[in-house]
Amino acid sequence: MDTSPMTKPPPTGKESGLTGWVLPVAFLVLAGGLYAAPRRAEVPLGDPASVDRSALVVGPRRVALSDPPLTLVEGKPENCNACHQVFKSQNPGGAAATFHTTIKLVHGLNDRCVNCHDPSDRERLTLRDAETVPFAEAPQLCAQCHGTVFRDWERGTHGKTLGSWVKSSSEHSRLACNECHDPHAPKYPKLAPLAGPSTLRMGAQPSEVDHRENENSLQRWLRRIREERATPKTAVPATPAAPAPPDSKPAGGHP
Amino acid sequence: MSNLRIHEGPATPGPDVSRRSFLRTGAAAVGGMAALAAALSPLRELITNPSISVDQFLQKHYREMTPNEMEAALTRIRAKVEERYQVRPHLRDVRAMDGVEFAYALNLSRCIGCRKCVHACVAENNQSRSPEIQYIRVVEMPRGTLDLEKGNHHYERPKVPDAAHFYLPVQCHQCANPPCVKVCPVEATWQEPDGITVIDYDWCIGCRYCEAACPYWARRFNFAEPSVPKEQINPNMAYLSNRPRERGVMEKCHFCLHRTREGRMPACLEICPTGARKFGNVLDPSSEVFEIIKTKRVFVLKEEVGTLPRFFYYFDERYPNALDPEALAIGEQLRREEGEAFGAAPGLGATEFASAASRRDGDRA
Repeated sequence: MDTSPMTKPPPTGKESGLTGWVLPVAFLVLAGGLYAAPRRAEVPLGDPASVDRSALVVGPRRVALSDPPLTLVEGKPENCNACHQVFKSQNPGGAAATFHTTIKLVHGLNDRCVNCHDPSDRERLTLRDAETVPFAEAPQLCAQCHGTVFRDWERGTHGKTLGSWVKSSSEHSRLACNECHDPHAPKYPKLAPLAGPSTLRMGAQPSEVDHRENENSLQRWLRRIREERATPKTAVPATPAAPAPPDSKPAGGHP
Repeated sequence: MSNLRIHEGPATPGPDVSRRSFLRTGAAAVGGMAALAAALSPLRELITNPSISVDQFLQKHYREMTPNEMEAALTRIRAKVEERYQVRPHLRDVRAMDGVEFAYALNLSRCIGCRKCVHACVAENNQSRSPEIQYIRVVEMPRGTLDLEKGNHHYERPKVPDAAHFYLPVQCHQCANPPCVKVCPVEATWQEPDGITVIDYDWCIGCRYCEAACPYWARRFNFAEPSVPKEQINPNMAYLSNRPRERGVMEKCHFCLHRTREGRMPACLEICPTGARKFGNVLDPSSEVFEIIKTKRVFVLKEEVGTLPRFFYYFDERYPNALDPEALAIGEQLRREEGEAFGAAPGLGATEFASAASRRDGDRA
């Protein structure tokens, strides 16, 4: 008995003409709106970072001198002794380089060539005990002063390892001291940093961000304490005698 | 009923259907269908976009694929890469090595903040250039604190390092207890036997729960179609690492597993000009990372959240170069600030401090 009134279509003609058209018009407006709207929300795309590809070349920073070392003399590679056996050095003590003018010695207290180079055989390096080592064993010379770093380098905790992390692999190679550091100026040079991130959400930020408005109550309290401590700093000479004793009495009485 | 009619129709279809009600119902139906079609129209992309095939749609999870199915998936991806970038990729599925657990160590005393690792990583792993996706973020931190809120991600200087700051590169820490894996609703990310947490890019639904769960902000989301210049594509690819990703999936650092699982070094380590980065098998007692964890002062980031990272920071037993006047001035300033923090009046010299201490001791006696 319930079904008979449901199957019977409602008397639509009895409704007002205007309200009956609301639904079709709304649908048509919705369809038009959906077609007119852009298919996809536009995502702001930043410009790709421009990176100098030459900055991404893998390898040692310096090319270590061959052993025996060669240097260019009038465009031709020559051994050190080719000259040094013939011409006597103008500065026997080696205080200043007269021929090797490109070398600037900035290496701690060392101010003479012969601090490291053997005066009698320029193709070897001299140790403190008058022993000499070939250029290939330069780390032994460095170790005389830089013992801590040499120990780290021997263990593998200092220095660069290339090729493979598998120690038994033939490609596993450790760089020597002079493949990163210039022995004449060993302090590692400063570099220009590559492009920073351009994040979608954060965008460019000022280099120093003030987090003061984001600090929590504990940080705010700490900052206020610090500021209060900092302000009487100017009045320090006048105050120490007077307020110190009353402060110290209750503090001393406590324990 | 008839008194509301304006025109009498010559033939009404039925006793209860007037022409007006027929038109109204018909217009509503047409409008409704049109609206429905408009609302569903973005789905046309599924049909017109050749990048989404039925095979890919029905592809199984990485860990459920048989070798044949994996080979089919690799063939499909190879074809797609070749079509999109005109490069024939060396794509394969590299599995974890037995008896290997990877660990990474980074020497904060040596990092100079040059950001070479960031861009070497982008070049190696085919990350989108625009919008920009980078796995490594180098944070410039003021000396004397590890509060990451004080770090600056966007530092720009003519030369680094700046003497008043140190540099903290952050990337995926490949945690032994990874929160990102726990929250994934579809198991699209998991931890491999060698400790690397990987993502099946074809299984990820892009809900970004893992991004929210990661305490190191290591995960990145492809908000838009990734764009990589054709000439910069790295054809050395693996299924779980640097094959091209789609819009709407997560990605992150995977320790360059297509290199490291074949014995090579990660790209960020190879490019590091100072040798601050160290990588190896922590199960091998002769490895460099084992030696570092054993002998160096090592810490992990946000230890208190219990993620057990495999990425360790360490530093050398040395202070900034004692001959460097800039570093000396900073050290002096740090000591002064430390004095303030512990309650000593700022600017107190050694003698004043000693006399103040003796006064205090005298009061106590």
